[in-house]
Amino acid sequence: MSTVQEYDKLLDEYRELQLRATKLVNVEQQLINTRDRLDHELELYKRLHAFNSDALKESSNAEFSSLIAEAIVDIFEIETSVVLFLNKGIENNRVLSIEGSLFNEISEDDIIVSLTCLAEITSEKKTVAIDRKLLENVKAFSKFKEALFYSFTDHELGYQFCIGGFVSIENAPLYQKLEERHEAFFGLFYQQVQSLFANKQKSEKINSQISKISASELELRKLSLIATRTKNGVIITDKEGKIEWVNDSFVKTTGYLLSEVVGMKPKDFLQREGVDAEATKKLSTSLSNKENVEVTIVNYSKRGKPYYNQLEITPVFDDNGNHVNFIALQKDITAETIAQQELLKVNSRFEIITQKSNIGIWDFNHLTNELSWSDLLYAQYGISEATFKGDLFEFWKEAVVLADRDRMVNDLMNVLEGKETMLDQEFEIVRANDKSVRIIKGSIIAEKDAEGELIRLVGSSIDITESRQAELKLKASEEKYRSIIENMNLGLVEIGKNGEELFSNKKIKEITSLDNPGVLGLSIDYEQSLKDKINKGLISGYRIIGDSVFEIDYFSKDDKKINLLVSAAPLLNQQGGIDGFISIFLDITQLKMLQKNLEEALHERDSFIQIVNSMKLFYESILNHSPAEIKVINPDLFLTYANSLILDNEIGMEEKLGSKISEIGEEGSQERLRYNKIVDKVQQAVDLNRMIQLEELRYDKNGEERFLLENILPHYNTDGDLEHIVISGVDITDLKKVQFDVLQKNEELKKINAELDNFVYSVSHDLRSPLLSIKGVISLVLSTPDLGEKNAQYLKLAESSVLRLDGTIQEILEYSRNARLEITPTEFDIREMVDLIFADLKYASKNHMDYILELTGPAVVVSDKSRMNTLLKNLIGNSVKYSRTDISDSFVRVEISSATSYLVIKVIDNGEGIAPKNINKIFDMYYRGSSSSVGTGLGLYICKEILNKLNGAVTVKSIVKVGTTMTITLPILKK
Amino acid sequence: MQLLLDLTSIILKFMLQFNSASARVVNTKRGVIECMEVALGNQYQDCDLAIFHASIGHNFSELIAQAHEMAPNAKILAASCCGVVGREGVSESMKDIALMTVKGKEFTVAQVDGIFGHNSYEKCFEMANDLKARSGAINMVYFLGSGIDIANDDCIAAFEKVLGSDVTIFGATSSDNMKGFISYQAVDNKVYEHAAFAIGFWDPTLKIETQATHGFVAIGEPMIVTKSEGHIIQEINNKPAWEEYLTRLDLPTDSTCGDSIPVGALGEKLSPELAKEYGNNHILRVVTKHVGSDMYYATKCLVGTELWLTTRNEDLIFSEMERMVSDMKKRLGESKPVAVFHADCLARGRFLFNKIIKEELVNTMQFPFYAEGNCPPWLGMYGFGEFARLGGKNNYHNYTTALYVLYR
Repeated sequence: MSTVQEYDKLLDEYRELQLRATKLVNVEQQLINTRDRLDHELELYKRLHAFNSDALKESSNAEFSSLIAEAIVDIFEIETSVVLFLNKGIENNRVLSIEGSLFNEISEDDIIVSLTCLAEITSEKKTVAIDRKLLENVKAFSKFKEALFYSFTDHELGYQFCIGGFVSIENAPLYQKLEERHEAFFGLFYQQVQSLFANKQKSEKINSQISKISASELELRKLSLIATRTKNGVIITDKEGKIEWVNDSFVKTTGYLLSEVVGMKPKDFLQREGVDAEATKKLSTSLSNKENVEVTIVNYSKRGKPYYNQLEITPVFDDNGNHVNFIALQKDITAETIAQQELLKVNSRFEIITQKSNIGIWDFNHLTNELSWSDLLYAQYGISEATFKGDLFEFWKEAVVLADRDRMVNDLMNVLEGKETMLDQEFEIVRANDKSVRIIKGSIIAEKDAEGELIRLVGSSIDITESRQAELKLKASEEKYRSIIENMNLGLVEIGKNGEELFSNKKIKEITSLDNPGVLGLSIDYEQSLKDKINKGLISGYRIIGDSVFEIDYFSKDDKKINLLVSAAPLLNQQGGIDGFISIFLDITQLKMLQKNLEEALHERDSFIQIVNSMKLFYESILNHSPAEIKVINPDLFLTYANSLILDNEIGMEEKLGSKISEIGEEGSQERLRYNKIVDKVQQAVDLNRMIQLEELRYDKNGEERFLLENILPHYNTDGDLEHIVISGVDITDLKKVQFDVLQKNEELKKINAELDNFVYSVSHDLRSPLLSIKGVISLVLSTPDLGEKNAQYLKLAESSVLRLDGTIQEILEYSRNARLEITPTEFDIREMVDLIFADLKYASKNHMDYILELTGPAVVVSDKSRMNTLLKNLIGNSVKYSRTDISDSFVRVEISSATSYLVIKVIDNGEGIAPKNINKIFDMYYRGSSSSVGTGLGLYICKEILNKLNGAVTVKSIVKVGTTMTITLPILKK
Repeated sequence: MQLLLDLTSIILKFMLQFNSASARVVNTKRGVIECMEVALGNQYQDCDLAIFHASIGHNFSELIAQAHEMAPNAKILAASCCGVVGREGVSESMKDIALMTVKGKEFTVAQVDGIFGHNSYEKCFEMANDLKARSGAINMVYFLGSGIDIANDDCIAAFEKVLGSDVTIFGATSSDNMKGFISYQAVDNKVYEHAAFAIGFWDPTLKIETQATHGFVAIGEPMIVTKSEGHIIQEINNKPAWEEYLTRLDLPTDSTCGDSIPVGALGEKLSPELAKEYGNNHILRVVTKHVGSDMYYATKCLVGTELWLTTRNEDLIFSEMERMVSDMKKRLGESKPVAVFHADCLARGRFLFNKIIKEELVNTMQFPFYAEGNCPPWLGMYGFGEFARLGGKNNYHNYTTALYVLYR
């Protein structure tokens, strides 16, 4: 064998070995899996065992079925389980336990119906593992893949039990596929469950019966004990009413022994004919009908002694409802009955007493819930017993006024509930008959038995309205006077004849800060009494003001001096003797202080008057030396002051002082008119609250005309009230004369200016005609042939000079026209105006030039058409004149924005531009940018004048060799 | 002394505190009540966060509803698993519940729904950003995602991208009872089937030690991945992956993942350095789902990857467990464990050991961490996967026992 062959063989063997090793791993894993399955099954058995232990501990069906549900999931490692227990004997007695969430969306009823349905299907097949096909047929289980299920019915105990474990289609891969071993195991499980449950049910039944028997025995023992030991008589008869047994109490009460009465009917030896016929009849009827009966009847003991027997007889039936016995309980209530009769007698007497003392009585029997009222109580509430129908308690509640009602009812409830045994009340009611509000005073007493149980309530009721009203009136009156004394502004002290304090009011304590202000009270010798008080240090001094009236100086605890006015009087008794003294104190400290303040104020006032007078003199002196004529009038127009200058200058001024200025001078006289004008202006100054000037003509004492400029100034005090009006007059006679001269000279100047304008206009106009003639002649000569070059040159120079002179004259005319003529607002089309100017200037440019117009807003505007034309012509003409010759794209662009109230015109060019230093000069008269400039130097000056006339404005922006922008803003005129 | 006690109580108020409980109770509500009572006494207000692990037989809607009723102010999280491990011991039934409660504010929870293998990175990136935005300086993240169809290495990469590789990722992937059929995650009031949540802890006093061990050995020649896309392996040895895998395992062609998981641990070879730390030459991976021939691997799997079949070695499992716990104890030094989170592979439960050996293994891992005779609060689950550091880096494992010891 070659080496290669050997190698291949070895390789194959290695591969085989490798596969075997893998297989070995797999085999090992299978062994592990088997071991795991066995381990796991052992674990499941352990869980089953644990379930058995736990199940034995559970007591209720619910806990038991819940435990089963958990056990199914746990032991079979299944997804969801359900346990249903139905007790067929009892309606709605069912227990449904579910573990897992697969039934969350299915109603309990559907689950129960489905389970019982499944139980019916499977009972015949004897199978516990259910496949999907079967589950699909049952509504609630259609989503399940497989299940373990078992149901059983115990006919003897009357219940049905279903248990099931389910795996859903969705989660089936997670759970083990149910196999035969599961089925077997489940069979084992349900047998255990069945056994546990049956045992449990039987055990429960036995326990229940044992409990019942135990309870019955106990009950019987108790009854026997009660029957033997009770103080009441007990008789047990057969169904015929013949005695079978009596207890010791019966023997004691009746004197008959058991042996004597066995076989007898009680009526035969306890009752006597004709006695208590009605009770006997009731007893007989009830016994015949085998009904419970309770009566009080008179019976007779063996010795023939009657006694009141409270008898209660109950028929006894067996479990099948057959009547077997009567049991009678009898109680000797003779003592109680006699006592009750005695009580009735006492009650009757009591009623008479209450009747006499107007006390209404009510009685409430707690045992019978009966309420009774006495006649007087009915009367107190305005009703009568005979006519009243209804519930007395409800009526009483309604009668009590709302404010007291809850309190009263609560009180009553407290007594009823045993919280109180006796209670006094006071409340108001509305009496039924007259609807008047009455005040009721009542008492309640609770009567209880020996065990403390309430037997009855007894209540009394007295109408205290009248006495209460009288009391209230007296109290109110007393309180009123007490309040007056307490709150009056006078201190009051009452002392006994030995000086002891009997009463002191609040005020005296307040004034003196003493707890015992009685020490200040005056006794029989008032003055001596005051001296004693000084000696005791109670007061520091006193002054006699009048008979029994003193002013005393008292120092309070904080050492504050208090002035007190005290008046004393004796208190006389009916016999005229003195019982004590009353002292009345008035704190006059404040009064004293006020008095002092008043004196100081009066002193200050005098000082102030002196200062005012001195100031008055000072200001009068100033006013008298003033160069102005000053007079003062008050708000009522009376002349109150005139300085010395006016007294000197105005005729009769001294007489006018104190007069009303509107009444100065004779009616209709010049003086009255003059002062009336002043009155008008005064009124105006007051109305406007500012100084008003008045120029007036007046004649002085020498009869000369004097012009006065009067300043009328109203003066207000700090409160804003008009105090006086100061009229200050300055003599302006000399000023008036100067003013007159100036006016005259102005008029003369205007005349001269007008003449000059006319002259300029005439001259300019007259000069133009010969100039135009000269221009025409020069043109004619220039067109002559053989003129010669030199002559032609001379003529052209002459023509040029003529043209320049004509231009100057035209501009002078325009200036003159602007100065002379009024503004004439005219409506015109500004676009047409600019187009015409462009057309005129089209050939004026040396080079090609673009003329551009941009208009924003309406073309038709209102302005002075002539001036606007001159303005635009000058500005656009300048752009043409000063266009650059070194460029080929020269332009002038006019941008017009017309708005409602303003017109903005921009004239923009790309011409020579203006040097910054010259921009401010271009609007000066005769300014020319350079000697070579074409033009007269008047163009922009005229523009500025026109703008001034039209209230317009101009701004200039320019850069040399770039261009210029002139911006004009003009108001739109009104037509 | 009193001052010291006062200071301690003040400091404790600013530190996270942990309590735990576990129970096997059929009725879900009663199970929750029992766990809450054991963990908290009656001091339910001391619960700011409750993390439940419950086996698949429990109703998760009922579980969170009951938890909310008892601790209305707490954040409630829950995940399904195959069994639980608590202080009380280990239990693997359909009705187990384990609980870890946290008192304190130094944590933040982020969650996503619809996490799968193809979007694991994006979803975890989203959670990591959320944690970063709402937390203090996070020093560890407890991550728990659905264990079915998830690329766990992508999850780690996303967390590290946002939070940095120094932040320890620990946790598990939730499972069912090894059927690979469904897993549940619950956050607050809602139950999800393909969700994940992450708890960022930022208590600066808290530190963590993590480690994982398996004790399996590789056998035979490796299988070569010849066609794959992300975490989906399409072909092995140029043959349809699932069929080839079953053939190598000698399992019938109609086998499910439930059949393959106990015997089908696949090993990827580690570098010598990592192998030394790990105590094993191979890190293991699980297949939790297959669609036709496509196998859903737990991490990304490139073409050319060598996959070894492995077999368990009981002695190695115990000796490696002892070594791991001993190493961890050494690293803890004098510090005390305050809580232990624990993720175990469901294949290491009753499908690997019988009950006695399983309890012995759990005792081996718990006892060394006892303090004064008491087990620290312990929350463990049997799930599909485990996270633990390896070679200083966050890593994902299968078929391991992974312990996460939080200590101060």
